[in-house]
Amino acid sequence: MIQTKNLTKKFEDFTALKDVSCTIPRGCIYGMVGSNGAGKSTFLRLLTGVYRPNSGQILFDDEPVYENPNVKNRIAYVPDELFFLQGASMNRMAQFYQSIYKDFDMDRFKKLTELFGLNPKKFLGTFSKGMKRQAAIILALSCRADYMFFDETFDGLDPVMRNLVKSIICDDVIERNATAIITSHSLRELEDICDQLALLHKGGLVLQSDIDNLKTGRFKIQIAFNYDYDKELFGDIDIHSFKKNASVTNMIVNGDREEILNKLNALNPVILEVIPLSLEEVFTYEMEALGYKFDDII
Amino acid sequence: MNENNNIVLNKKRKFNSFFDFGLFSEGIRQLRVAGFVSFLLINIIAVLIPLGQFVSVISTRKYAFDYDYSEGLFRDDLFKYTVEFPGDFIYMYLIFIIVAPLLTLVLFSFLNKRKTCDYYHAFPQKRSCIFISYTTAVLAWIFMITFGTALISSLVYLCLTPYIFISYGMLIKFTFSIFICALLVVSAVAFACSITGNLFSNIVTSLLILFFPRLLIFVITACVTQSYPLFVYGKLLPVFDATTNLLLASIFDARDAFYSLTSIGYTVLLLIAYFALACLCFVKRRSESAGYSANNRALQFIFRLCAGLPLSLIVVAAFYNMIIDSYTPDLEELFLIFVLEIICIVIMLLYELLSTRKLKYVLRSLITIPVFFIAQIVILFVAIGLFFAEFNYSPKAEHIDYIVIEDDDYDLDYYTATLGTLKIRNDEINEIVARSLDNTLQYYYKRLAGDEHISHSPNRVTLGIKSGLTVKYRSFYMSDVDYKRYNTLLTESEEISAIYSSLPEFDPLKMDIYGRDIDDEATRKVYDSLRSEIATLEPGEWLRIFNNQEFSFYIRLNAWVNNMDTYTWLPITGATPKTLMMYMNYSNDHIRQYYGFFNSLKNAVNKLNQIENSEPFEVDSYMAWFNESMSIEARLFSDDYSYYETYSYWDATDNVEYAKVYKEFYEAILKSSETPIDSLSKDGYVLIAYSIYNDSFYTDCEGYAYIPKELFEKMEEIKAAEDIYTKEYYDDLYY
Repeated sequence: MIQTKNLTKKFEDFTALKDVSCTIPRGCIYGMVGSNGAGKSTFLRLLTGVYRPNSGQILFDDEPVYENPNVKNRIAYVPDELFFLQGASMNRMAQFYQSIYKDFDMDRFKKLTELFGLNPKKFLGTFSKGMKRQAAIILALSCRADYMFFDETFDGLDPVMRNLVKSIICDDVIERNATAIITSHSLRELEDICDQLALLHKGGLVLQSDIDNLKTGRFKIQIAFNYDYDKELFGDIDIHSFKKNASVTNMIVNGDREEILNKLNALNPVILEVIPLSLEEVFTYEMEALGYKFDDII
Repeated sequence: MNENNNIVLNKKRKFNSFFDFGLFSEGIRQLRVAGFVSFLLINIIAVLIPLGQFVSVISTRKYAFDYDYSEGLFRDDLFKYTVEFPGDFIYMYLIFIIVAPLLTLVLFSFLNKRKTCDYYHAFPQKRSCIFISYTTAVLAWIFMITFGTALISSLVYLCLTPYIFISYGMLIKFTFSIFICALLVVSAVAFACSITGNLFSNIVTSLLILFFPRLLIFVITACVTQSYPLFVYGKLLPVFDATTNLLLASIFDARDAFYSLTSIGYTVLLLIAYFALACLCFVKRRSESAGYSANNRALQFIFRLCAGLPLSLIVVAAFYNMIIDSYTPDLEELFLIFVLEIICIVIMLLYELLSTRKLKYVLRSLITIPVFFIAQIVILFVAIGLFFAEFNYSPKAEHIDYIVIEDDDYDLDYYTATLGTLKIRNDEINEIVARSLDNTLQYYYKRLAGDEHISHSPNRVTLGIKSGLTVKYRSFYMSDVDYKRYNTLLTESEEISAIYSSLPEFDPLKMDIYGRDIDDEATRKVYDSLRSEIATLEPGEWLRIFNNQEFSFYIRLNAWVNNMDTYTWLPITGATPKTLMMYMNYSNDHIRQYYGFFNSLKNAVNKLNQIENSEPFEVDSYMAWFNESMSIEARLFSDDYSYYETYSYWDATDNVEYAKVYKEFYEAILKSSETPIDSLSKDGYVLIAYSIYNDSFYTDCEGYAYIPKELFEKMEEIKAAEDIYTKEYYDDLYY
């Protein structure tokens, strides 16, 4: 489990992260979304032990990460800006990783290289951006780490590779109870893989929630009556958003789905439809509840 | 859950805080191109130089062979080249000048870019471990290059043993010193990389770390010790001596430092300190400072300031001299000072621009200017403070531990330099020294107060005075009475007498011996013989001979004593007869071996005998042999065989009878050459030194022979007779 408590990081006069507290359980795929400069990369670098926080704590299973080889050995990190040794091939990088990471699995490296269709003997300098990213992912996954951090990793990958990487990450999480943290600009990118999502904005953690809870706890209802009505008709139902157009109303409600549907059916509607919300819509409404305009943030 | 705990436990292994072999191997691998290229280039030089020396030796021998062969002679040339340190191994300086900084900068270049720096700091090793492992990789390469070069060089010289002489002991010591210098450079560059974030700043800061402290000390020391005749130039505090730092010693060509435990020890301590600081800064360094010229603004400020300070020390020195000498500079001097200050400020701003590449930072850095002036004032006050502290030094006699004699003459011989290593403990001398120093100070005080009529004694001495922790060197005046007593006490000193009654055992690390007209091996034997004979002389006898500068026979001793080059001409006289005869015999051997002289003389004599014995006797032919270029010189010795008392010279002759006497003279020389000289006098004979010049044979050195007294008297008669002939007569006779 990863815990951060009041994590703050400043670069001279600029505060990149301020009082960020979160808990990321084991076996979780944690998504972090935010605009440019929100602090996603800084957050990951703090978690990886690259940066030292100005204040606050970062604990991995109750152990601090900074200058702690025991913890850092359990982390594999794919940064947004990739680095490879000059003139190196994938094999050379694997050799490099093997000397650094004691649990580096060369067999897995070979299998993944084959799976991704990359030539491990070719110089990485000749690879395209996407191929370099694939190479970095392969190297990280071959470390067999308990914690995998991917900083905007899916950018630059084609849809097929994206799905492949996601499936491999999921397999690792399931098989080894590994934890993955993935940052991205795009909620849609994270929607289908993450268990938990967090939203960073200007260095602060604005929202953090379990995706299932987000999705199931809130849903859109389209309802119509053949009689006149207003919002009061719906009594004790927790309505987040209510938009009536003639006799048809679209509303976002919170609560148990079955219970709410029963209540609504009891009102004899002409039309009653449940429309699933996209994650983006969920986030939008959540943000609005907190006083933020989602479009301004992402 | 249990499975997860097991996984965690398996991953939780003991990590070494200091060294990781994987990182070390990786460092070795990353440096392999730079390392191999450096190794290759240096070893190409290491092989070419001895080969070049070999070719030179072969050419010299062949030239001699060809020359003598054309004259119908053959001589066995034993000329060998002796390898000199550091001269013949100066290319090894490239290891600490280029290779060491290059490898360090290459391996630690990851600190200069954000993405590489972050990448390395994400490694599951402690930062201290990364630093130490990588540094060890650099050191391993330096070790391989340094000692590998020495090994390859040794192997080449081993193959060339018949032609080149090298002291392998010296090579090992020299190589070790080079390695230490390289380590110092690595430590300074690693320190610089840990506190800066781009290549330009890496290099400038490395240079500042290596040289600026010493430069500052040097300028302050020079200012203080040059300001008054009371001080001895460069001698302030032992650690202020530049040669204690092995790197600077190599620049100043202070040979002794390379084999001095003090210098090596000091340099090792310094590099350990630099490594420790570098490691500490590396661990503390924030990853986000990569790409910036310094880890923080305070450091950047310091670097900027230090970039401008070196040149400004000229200004500090100028102001120091103005204050101490109390003079007002003229406009021109002031203008020069102004220009220098402007240049220094420009250097600081330029440094800021080049290191940060941001004009706005240059404008912000103008704040450094007032601090720059303050720093100069501080340095000036330190120098002045040091001057006054040192100037007023006047210990009481009972506080003086010992004195050392310091000769400020640059042309020192072995004995005067050795005296400087002697600690003289004598209460009466201490009293004389304390009194004289105090009187000298009183003289200076009165001069400073404006008394221009006061004078001092002409007897000036320069001594090191030990009272307290260090030896302080002062040059001061003694009254006539004190001076006489002082010299008497020194002469009566057993330790000083012992120095002047002996010669040191030959140490190839610190000594060279040269003999006129004899080779190195022979010179060495002559030296050993002289050394053993001197030990048998009466006390004071050798000093008397040595101080009597009129001598003809000598060997020259070049010795490195007390951090100085000394040149000593060691006279060989009749007082050391065994050595003198050895010297003469070696000289004869030399002209026998290197010039084939006796063979050519024998041929000449045979030719003359042949003509003389032939019927009819062809006078013209006989005389043609004695062409106008022939001449003979002979010298007779003084009674004590220390110098030549008489000199005789015979030129060509047109008198057959004279020529026959000359032939007898040659025969006498040949006969004498058959046996070594085993005594300095022989009844019925005179011992002469001779030289003979002829188109056919030529000696540029002296030989020694016993000539029958009667024959020599005949030659003297001829000399008197031949004096009537003029050059014009000769020209008419032969041309």
